[in-house]
Amino acid sequence: MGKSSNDPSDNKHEQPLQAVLIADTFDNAWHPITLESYHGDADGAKGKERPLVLCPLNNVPLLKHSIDFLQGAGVRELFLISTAGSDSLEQYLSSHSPNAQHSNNNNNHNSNHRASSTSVNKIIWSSKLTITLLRFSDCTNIGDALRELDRRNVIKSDPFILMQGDVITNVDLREVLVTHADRKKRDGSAIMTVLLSEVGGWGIDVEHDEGGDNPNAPPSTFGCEGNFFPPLRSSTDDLLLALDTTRGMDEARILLWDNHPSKSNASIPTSFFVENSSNITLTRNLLDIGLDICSPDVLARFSDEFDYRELRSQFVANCVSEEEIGLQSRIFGYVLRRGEYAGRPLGDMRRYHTVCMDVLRRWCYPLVPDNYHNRGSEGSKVEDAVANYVCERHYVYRDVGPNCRVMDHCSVIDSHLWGDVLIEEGAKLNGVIVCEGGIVRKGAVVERGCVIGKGCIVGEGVTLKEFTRITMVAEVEEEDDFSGFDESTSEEESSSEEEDDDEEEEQDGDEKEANVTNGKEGETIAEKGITDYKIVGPDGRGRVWTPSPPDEYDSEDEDDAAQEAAVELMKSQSIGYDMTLVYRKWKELQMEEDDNFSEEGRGSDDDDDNMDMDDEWDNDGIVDNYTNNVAASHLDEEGMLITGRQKGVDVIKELRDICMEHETSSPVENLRIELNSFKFSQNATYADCCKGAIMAVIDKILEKSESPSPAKLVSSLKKMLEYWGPLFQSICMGSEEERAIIHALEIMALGTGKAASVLGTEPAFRFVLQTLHDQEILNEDALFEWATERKEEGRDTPRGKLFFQKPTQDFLQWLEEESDEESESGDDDDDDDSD
Amino acid sequence: MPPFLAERHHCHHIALFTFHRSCQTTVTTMTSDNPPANLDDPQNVRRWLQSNHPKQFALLDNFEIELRLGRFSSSREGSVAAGAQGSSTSSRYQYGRDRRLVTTRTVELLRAIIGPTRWKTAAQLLTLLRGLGNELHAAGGYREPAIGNVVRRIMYAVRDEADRVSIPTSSGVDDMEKIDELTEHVSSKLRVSAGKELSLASMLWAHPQHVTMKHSRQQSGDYSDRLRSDSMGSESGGNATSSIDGWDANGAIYPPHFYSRRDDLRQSVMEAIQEMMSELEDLHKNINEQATQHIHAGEIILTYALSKTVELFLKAAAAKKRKFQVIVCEGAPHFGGHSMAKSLAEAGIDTTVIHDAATFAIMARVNKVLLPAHAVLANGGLIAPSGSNMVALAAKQNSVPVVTVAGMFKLCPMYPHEGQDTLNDLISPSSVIDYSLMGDPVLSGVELINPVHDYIPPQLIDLYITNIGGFQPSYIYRLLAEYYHSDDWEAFE
Repeated sequence: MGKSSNDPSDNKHEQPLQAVLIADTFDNAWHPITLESYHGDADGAKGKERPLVLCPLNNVPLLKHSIDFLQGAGVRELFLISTAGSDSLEQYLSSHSPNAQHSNNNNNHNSNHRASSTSVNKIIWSSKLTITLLRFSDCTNIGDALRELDRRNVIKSDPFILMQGDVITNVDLREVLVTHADRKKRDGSAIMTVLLSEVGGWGIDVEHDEGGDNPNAPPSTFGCEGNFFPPLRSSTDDLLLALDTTRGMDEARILLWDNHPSKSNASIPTSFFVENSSNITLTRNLLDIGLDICSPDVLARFSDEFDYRELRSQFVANCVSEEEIGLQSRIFGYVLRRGEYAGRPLGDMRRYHTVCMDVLRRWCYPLVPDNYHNRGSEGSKVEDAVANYVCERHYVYRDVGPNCRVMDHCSVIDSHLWGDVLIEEGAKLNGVIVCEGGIVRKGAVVERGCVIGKGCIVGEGVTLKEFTRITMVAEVEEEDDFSGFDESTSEEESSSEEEDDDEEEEQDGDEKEANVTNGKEGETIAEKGITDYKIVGPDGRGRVWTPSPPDEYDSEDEDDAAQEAAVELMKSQSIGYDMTLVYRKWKELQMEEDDNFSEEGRGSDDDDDNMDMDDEWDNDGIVDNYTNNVAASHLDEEGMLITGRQKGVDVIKELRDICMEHETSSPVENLRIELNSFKFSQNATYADCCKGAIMAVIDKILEKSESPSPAKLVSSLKKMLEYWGPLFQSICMGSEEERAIIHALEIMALGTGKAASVLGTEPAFRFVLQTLHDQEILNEDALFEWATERKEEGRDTPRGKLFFQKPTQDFLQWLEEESDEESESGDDDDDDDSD
Repeated sequence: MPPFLAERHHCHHIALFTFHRSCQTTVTTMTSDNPPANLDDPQNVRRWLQSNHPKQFALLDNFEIELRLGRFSSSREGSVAAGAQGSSTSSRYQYGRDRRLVTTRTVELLRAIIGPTRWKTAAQLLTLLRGLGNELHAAGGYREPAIGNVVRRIMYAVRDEADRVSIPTSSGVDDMEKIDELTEHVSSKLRVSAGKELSLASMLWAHPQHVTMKHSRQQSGDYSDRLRSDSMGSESGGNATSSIDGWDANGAIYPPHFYSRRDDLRQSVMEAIQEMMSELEDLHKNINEQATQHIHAGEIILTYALSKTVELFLKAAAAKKRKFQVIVCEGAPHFGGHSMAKSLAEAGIDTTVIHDAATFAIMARVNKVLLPAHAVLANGGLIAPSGSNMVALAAKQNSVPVVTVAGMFKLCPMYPHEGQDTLNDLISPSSVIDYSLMGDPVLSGVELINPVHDYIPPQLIDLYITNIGGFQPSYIYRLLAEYYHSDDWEAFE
């Protein structure tokens, strides 16, 4: 056939094209569904967890879509990396390959010993594609998996495709592959091409947004007018990209990758502007689709940097921000064309629903249900044979799996029935996922965002509150499974049952969650086994699953807040959640951050509360050492990036610490050298050193006596300056440094704590200035410059108040008279001051 | 939800449920005894190929993947094949690419599979073809009716050759006896069924008058007669509707001489395929020869969107120094009309582009409407790019003749029972609206529909210009009889 010769893999004498499919999302957005067993009974033997990639998307397992897609891209060898549920995967692969024609129905019975007897995990899927299943059961993140892959040394093709297991797309990869290979040939450091899709960024219409009402309070309202919530974005994703588009969007080099939500600023090294001559596009419109074209160098890079855990937030973000030309690995972006669609249904359930709907709405054409409906005939596969969904008047069933029965007078809207599901008369479902074997009895109402786990039953007439997840998986087992692949949760699980009680009481108060269980019922649960009859009704089965907060919350007082955040996150990952609320939280965060930012410009260094807020949104298990003060402190007062300064270092605070730690027994010259070297390493100024030093001096005084009177303060200051004086003499080069000293004192006086109360009281500030003047640390000129600066500011601001304190004014006036006498000039200035 | 879509889903629903049941039963029978794959049932074709001819199987696999991914419908094909000299900015689902490509590729595939594989009799070959047709149809071939048409035509050619070969060998006494036996068999069948089955339709099939038609393939009237009676015989064996289901029930679905081994059959079938290839190659030449008969000096021709056939037809007329004016409808949302206009203007044709909504207004000035074709249906109806029905209706209102140019491989033996949904497809709404707008919570609740085709009823069409001449819509069903065997009509549905 003429076509095959056009495959990029064929016309090379190298390796056939390889691809790596990562069949795990390494997070817990799909709990408890992922914890259930895939084959066999609900009691599920260990290692039989449901691999996420076998979740049906419109009745066809995701894995099938992925494999078809990769096959179409010309992939000859596929490595499937699986951590959980490898057996189920292997069973699926060996029984569903088009080559295994007649082995389906009996397979459920004999596959068990087949799987155990054959240790070879190589499956010949079709004449063109071989699949190798790699069981990396102890990997807990993508980084580990890729390092392990590199160790096995199986990836030979350059480029290879790195794909997350859940990508649903119709992009034509052949073109991207060719572009990547060409670029790699020209420039060896272009090691990766990331595929991006344009879906729009978060946005909210401020005019329409009153901010008062909770949009997630029932009854559901769909977001305000003008709001913009790209449905394919995760609630924790707000990707900001800087692209060098000098050579057009097709050759867009990524210069910045920042996917942390609720940021108010971002920084690009100025060197990029210099180097790239330059046409830089900053955009929040693009979504990372989870599909990359990589060269094997990427794996090597992961092996080098053994602490990389995340592909995106760590590897890509760091690679693109590398400044040294020699070390740079260039990462390029490829933006999907119009008509090309990509979505990641396994990110969370909200996105699962979106992608299902988009596929039904034919956005992903030709990947549409009717293109798959006949597939059953060739392999006689029952499982993925029928992709049907039915529209009848007033009743819309979405995604009805095989052997599902929906009786009369039901209303099933926006719901996913995964197979063998029974919906009895008059039941109402809206925005629900019902797993295999789930039953909803007569007249039950299941509200949006609910999940009914495998084999669970919702009893007759029961109303399940929104965002409830019902499962048959026992709590104990859950712990076991957790420890298998998710370290962050396993630690936290160990923090015992009492925490559970706390959680539930807390939700009780909230009245948001359905699991209104107090301590007493907690006991009955333990006695009666799994089922939570209060929730699912007397004829029901299953317990309520509550999300567990990530492990950062060790201390007991934070548990409540953490639990609430975890529940909130779980909700935001469920079907039907209104993103307005999340977005509003971000906005609030950003506002606070902005406040902190402006303070920091003046040298404030304390934003603990800010960190807390931040962590609340950080709780999806991704350890990310991003904090807000980091974003600001490596910038100068105008918010410009200071080149050469290490990210995340608060220079003044560091300098101050150096001074504080200095032993006064050793000569002060040592300290000067130390300060100087730090100054150079961080590209700081002498002014910064002065600030740090004077702050340290005041701190030292306050260390000795709790709250000294102004007179005592001055005397101890004089004593201190006997030692510290020479240091100031040597680092104060001119009036700029001297003004920095005054500014530092100001900040301390206006800040919080002891220093403020001591320096803020009336004559103290004047005395300190006077002492420094007497000791010839502060020159008149610096004081006058400061005075003119402050005079413009007015009396209302805190700084103005401090400045216009009577003693300070008196001192300045005296000072001016003094200098006038010396210079014997006119007395106009006096008049100005007295006004 | 518009009735358009609802109806479609409904149909699916019904079809799928029945399908599902039958599928399950075949599963159990197949798995229980695991028979060696034979060429006795089209269902086994895939397995047969896999076990006996892995190379051909790989070809089929490849073809199916590309079909399923819609590669054949992609205008990008050219640019990728050319080795990525930059990326094409055109929309993915450009309408009006040369559909000959799909057809040619299908013929090549079939030739590659039929040529080297070890089938022995005409019946086996027909089973193989039928199985392949089913495979391709399931893999998305229903979007490109030309694929099914090609398979059907090859099946017809096989029947043709099988019958033809039986005549020259009839010199021997044994053979003569065989023939006698055969005719007797057929006639007895005829007699049995005469009461109820000898309908008007079957009489028409039995006495075709198209033998005098100029047609690339040589046929003797004698032979054709026999063929017709054969087809009728088999049709009356079961009843006409259950002829598909009757496959496994009675083993003999083909005339008896189809089951005897013929060594020269392979050779003659390959020749027939080669003939078909050359017909495809000469397709545009044959159509364009008629251009000057239909496009007259000073005429204003209106055409819709992009079509290679229409484009070449107009260019051929222009090349013969005809002066005429062309008005091109842009053909939203794919806007194929834009590139069409560019191409025509390059050929020196006086070209005007209008937006689709202006069609009616401008129709009064138009002398002739020239429409492209996706498929020509058995009733003489036309499947054309979405929006062309509107053009045809406007033409009717203004009594402007509507002419369609189409290669014969677009002729489909099926009736538009589903109205506008016949052979239609809904593609990604991305050409209507940008996906990034779906973030708007209000807009995301809006259903977006982007059908590709329109069905135009035969009474709105005045003339089909094909590579074998011009025909009125009412004559199309006769052409069907000439191109396909009536048993194969519904082979892949």
